[in-house]
Amino acid sequence: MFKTNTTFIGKVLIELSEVDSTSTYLQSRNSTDNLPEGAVVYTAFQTKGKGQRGNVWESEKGKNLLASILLFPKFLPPKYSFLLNMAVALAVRDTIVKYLPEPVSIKWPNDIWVNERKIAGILLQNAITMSTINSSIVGIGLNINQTVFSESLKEPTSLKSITGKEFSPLDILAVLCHYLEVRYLELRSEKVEKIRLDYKNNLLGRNVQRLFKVTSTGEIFSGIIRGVNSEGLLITEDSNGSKKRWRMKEIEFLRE
Amino acid sequence: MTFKEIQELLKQINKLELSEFKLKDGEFEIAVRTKHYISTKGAKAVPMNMPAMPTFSQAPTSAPANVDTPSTPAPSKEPPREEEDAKYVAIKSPMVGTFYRASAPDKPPFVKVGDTINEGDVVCIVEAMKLFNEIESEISGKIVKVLVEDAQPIEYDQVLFLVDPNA
Repeated sequence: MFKTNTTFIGKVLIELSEVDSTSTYLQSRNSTDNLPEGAVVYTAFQTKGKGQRGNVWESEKGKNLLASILLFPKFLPPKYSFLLNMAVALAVRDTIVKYLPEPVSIKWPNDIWVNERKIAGILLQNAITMSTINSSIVGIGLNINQTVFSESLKEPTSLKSITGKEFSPLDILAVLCHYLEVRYLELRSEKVEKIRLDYKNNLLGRNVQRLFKVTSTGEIFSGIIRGVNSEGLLITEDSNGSKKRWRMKEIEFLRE
Repeated sequence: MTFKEIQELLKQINKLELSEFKLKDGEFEIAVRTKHYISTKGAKAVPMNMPAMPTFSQAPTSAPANVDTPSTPAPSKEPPREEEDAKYVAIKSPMVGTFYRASAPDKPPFVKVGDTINEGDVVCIVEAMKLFNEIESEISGKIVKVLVEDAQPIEYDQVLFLVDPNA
């Protein structure tokens, strides 16, 4: 039974036994039906789950949380859309923290890692103009009861892999809706500094030395993450004290 | 770089009639656009201002001050617009990211030169930090120029397309 204490996120829940991708479904359904803000599409099984451009998101049937949420962040200038990324990453992290005693980190830009392994991924699809984010579809994949993963993936983890316990994906979705609403309302009420600070404080590798690989050259360096800038670029500092900014895919995190 | 050297540099850039010039040397960075750069100022159909949101429009960067490299303001004189471009309206990037002309590598581009677009049509995708942004046009007209190659990094406010609103 799905029960939330939210005012808008998850009030409309569309549950599907199987779908190509929850985000693709939500996008086309919204264009025909004009769904309300906070509408959620949830499925037990995705046949074409999306990761980053060209990548797939793999999930064993019924074992994980696969959901997409519809938002209309028209209040947020597109230039600052990374704040939405931060708010969503924090909400997913808040949710996982409820179930695990282990430290839960945000791996820049918006994966969630526990014990150096990925437990959740987020993919945002916005429809924007120069001035307005008209809609945002927040796709979330959170590994819950799956313990065996395909070899092609870089050894992810799940709540069960860590705790040995089974959880109900739908119960966790209700918790996620709650935290998503809390973080989204923070963003809407312009608690920008709080979101930035919470995000920064929970970044994997912040203020500790770790190894990174420069994608273009293959060079490996030891650096410290200092934070991100307003565009979401990662800021690292190497042992000489020199700071660098990175775009996505320019830098790789090496596992400790 | 001293102020004098910058002045000298600007003179040279002017002489060479470059449209755009960028120099980066460690922490120092300078970017100059001249009158030869395709100007889009005055393109009224494209709202230039952020919504009246005091906090968001002033949202400070969380980057330490020393990371943000000092930049020299471009010459403050408004460059005269060239006749040809005056007819066109620019679609610009609302953010820093990577420009994609199609929804997937095996899909046809959203728009190409000669296509007629309507307000609200998706013209491209800008990917920024795992945010996939479908850019919707705020104007109707005909695409006369595509200024960025597929999968290229783009800057905030960079012109992506020129549209002829009267075609």
